[in-house]
Amino acid sequence: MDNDVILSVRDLRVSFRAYGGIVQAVRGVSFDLHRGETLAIVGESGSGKSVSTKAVMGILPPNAFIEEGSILYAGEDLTKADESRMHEIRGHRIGLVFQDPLSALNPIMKVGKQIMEVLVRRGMNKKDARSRALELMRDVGIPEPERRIEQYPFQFSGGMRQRIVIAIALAGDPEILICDEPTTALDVTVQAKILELINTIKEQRNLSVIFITHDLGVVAQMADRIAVMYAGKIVETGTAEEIFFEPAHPYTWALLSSMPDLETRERLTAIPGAPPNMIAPPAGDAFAARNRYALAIDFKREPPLFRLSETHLAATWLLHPSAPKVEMPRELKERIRRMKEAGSRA
Amino acid sequence: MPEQDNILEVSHLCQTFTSGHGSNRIVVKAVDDVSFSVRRAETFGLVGESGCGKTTTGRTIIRLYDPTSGTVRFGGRVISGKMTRELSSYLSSNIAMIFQDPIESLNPRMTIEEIIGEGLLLRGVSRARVHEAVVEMLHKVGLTEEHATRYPHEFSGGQRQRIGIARAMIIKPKMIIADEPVSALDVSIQAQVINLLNDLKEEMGLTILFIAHNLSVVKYFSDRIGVMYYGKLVEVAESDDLYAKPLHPYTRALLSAIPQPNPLTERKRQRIDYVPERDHDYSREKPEMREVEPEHFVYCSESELRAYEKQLG
Amino acid sequence: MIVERDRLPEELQSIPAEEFRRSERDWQTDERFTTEPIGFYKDALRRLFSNKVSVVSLAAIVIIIVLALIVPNVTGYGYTEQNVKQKNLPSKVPGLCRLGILDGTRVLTNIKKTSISDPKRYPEGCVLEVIREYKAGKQTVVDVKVDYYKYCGVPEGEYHWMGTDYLGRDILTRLFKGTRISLMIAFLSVVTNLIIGVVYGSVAGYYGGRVDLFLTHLAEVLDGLPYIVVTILFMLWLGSGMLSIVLALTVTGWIGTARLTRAQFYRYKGREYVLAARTLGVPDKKLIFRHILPNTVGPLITRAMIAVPGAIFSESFLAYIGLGIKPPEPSIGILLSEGQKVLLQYPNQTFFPAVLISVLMIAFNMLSNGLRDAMDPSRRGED
Repeated sequence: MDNDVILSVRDLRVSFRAYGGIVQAVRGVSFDLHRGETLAIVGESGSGKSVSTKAVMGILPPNAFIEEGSILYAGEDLTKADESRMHEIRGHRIGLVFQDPLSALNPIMKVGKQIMEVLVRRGMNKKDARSRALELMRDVGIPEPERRIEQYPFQFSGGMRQRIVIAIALAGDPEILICDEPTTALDVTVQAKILELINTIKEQRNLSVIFITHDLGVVAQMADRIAVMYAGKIVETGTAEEIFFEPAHPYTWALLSSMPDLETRERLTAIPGAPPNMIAPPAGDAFAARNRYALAIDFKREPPLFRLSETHLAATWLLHPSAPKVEMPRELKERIRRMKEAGSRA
Repeated sequence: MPEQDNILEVSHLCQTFTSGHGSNRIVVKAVDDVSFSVRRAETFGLVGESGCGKTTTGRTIIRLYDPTSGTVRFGGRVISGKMTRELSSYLSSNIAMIFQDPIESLNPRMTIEEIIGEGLLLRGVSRARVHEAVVEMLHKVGLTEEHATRYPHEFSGGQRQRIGIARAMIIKPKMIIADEPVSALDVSIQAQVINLLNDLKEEMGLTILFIAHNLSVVKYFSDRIGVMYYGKLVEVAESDDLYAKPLHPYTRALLSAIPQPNPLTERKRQRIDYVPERDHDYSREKPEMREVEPEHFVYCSESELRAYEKQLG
Repeated sequence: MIVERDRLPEELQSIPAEEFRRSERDWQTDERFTTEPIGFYKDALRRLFSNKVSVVSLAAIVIIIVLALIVPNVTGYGYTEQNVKQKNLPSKVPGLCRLGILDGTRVLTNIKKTSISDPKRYPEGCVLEVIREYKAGKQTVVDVKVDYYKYCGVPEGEYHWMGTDYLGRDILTRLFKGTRISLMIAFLSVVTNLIIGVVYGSVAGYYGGRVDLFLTHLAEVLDGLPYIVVTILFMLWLGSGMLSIVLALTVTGWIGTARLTRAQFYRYKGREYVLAARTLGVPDKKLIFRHILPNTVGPLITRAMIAVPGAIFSESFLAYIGLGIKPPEPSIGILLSEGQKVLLQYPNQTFFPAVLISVLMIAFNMLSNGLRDAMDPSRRGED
């Protein structure tokens, strides 16, 4: 493991006990997080993107369990750490920003106190904690922190609340920031500001960020590297340029071409059907049933991750030398051409 | 606005909600003096952020709320007046609505056939005829006859949304109000629903009032777009124009905030802030809806209008 | 597993080429359903019956109801049939009596030894055993175990399974007759409460605004009336009897149901599917009964089920403090109240009614818990 890697997840499998049976939410996921980078995990609801990071944080719901795999952080396997150790790691090393800022905050506690709580737990005295909390609030762009520190969460707007959550996450001086759909509940103009803020604090503090989202636009703005998840597996991973401009997996193709951009006029290529039931995931490639480029082997055997470059991996049988040559859809090619053009204009 | 073949004309529509009594009384202006018109067989997009009043506008038009003031005309007839049985049946046979939440918008106790067929049964159509129509509608939205006896919870989000569309379409309305029809769906499902709406629109010559916050989708789907901000309509233009030359500072801020799936442009993107107090000076001139160029309306003052005209050259 | 495309492992290279042909699957259609369609109530029943506690409770309730219907007609005694000679008999059950339990014997204490041999007082063969013999003053006193049935001159072959009360009435007959009356009072009051509560709550909840304000305040005023006082007033006005008890239980009983219904209406009337129905022109009546009310059925049934033991208990309580139905009509409460007077001498007179009311109340409570879980819409489609 090169020392640039700060967090390393290997063959992680997480399942849930549900009424209908065991839901295999994450089915063998491996990824590395490098120092100072933003890794975006993209997927639809139920793809396992959120569950994987909850496992990293040790905040899985009680009916979930890690079947196998390891999560290595600073030489320590977090899957084996006990609750008090995890608590320490969550407070200090890894910060968390959730989708819904309202439920992440205690509604009957002043926001200042909630920030200071983390600082006091780290051994700071009250006075220092208060001035540090004010500083943090200024850092995350909350105007008039002296007045706002005495207010309750309901007195803040959604965007401001999310800033408070970020301030709390930063109070522990973390190395890693995990953002689980932090802007999904927010309006676009507010979203833009929060994303900017996350990018700024990442630069300032040299944070490593795991950013979970379903919005490819957000990914484009945030990610250095991207992992695309489908049905509990990473189907493709690579740098942002590789995923956006040289996608290799049919699911990535479908994702990229199914949403209209501002230029789109032609009919959208919809992905038929719906994601599979994870209680009994299909044999072979889970995307095969919805994939118009599916091969016979896709229904029988799971594809390995084929290496396309140092950083680019994709799990599709189309990359096997014996597979027929299948090109990405014409509309997508056209769109990528437009994207590159717009990029060179900018 | 020019008198064309307008199927829907909304003029000076206001909708306020009050809560509390006495000194606790709070009045919220959800829709504040909004005027626009929708032409026959066009798609008019209404965009804005949460709380801007776009949903309330849609619901007031179809009379889920009684308008506080202003008039709404549909097909030349005033539909914002006193609710009578006759007006109610006129409304329900001409305008239908598609809702956002695919789980919430179907009655969990009814089968798909009952849900889709309810509108026809109310109009006294025989059960056998209703069944035929339901099956036909199911095929149109890509489902099959065997789905008719099922209950909503057995379907996926995208399928449920298609059922919602079938329910709206079966009465063969002239206009559909689609309130965020795809925003609760997964990315891979959204395109299915958008395509379906597009097909039905072509096939049935529908007029659609499309309400959404996702500007890429609205741009793709609409002929003309109205942008709302805090209860006010601030800009109306043909969709290409709106994106090519946005005039109102809020529209520009909104456009600059849409994340585009393109890492090359996105990383360098400059975002624009909208601060009403800074961007407008309405102390001497009153703002109103003005036509800056043909078919392009902006809510602005006299001097702003001149500035915009100059900007367009 | 990560593989290099130019250095494929042997095993991957050897996959036959035909495996890489394009799949001919029709990928465009939606998945077909493989399961049977399940309606809401069917689903709820299925889940109710998969819960053991609910099934046992339901069985207990059904058995008690069946017994209440049959037993009073087959014991051979009338529930008001008195026999002063055979009062306060202990229980005697055929079959069991041979094993020495519930065999109709009783220990009599402090009896003059001489009197045992007096056949007028102690018919022949009724004294089974002398347990203790001791002197009290000059008299020799004994404790004897007697066959109480023979002692009272009950003909051979007559059994009172639960004994008799202070008027010699068969408790078994009276208990199940009483259960019948108690259950009837409970069901009647629950049904009237439901009807009044649902209508009241629906109107308040659906129309909201001023109507709601007025109705809610009215209910609050009624709720403030002390229930015992109201009941006593009803008893004075109508005389004691089933009708006045049902009325007394109804005066304030419906308010809870009305509140529940109103809350459900507030919860559901803004739902998108109700709005959708409104845009289709569905009239108010249909909106209430077809779209909103069915969602309240689950909580309402649960509530009604909890209300049944509540009503039985209230009835018993009223009987206990002497406001019950008119004697000699029995009810569980009347039996308990009568039994309590002789609790120490004849505990069997309290024991059996107490067991029955306990079983009934536990069973109804458990069943309503099971129903609540089975009808919880958030658990639709689960096993």
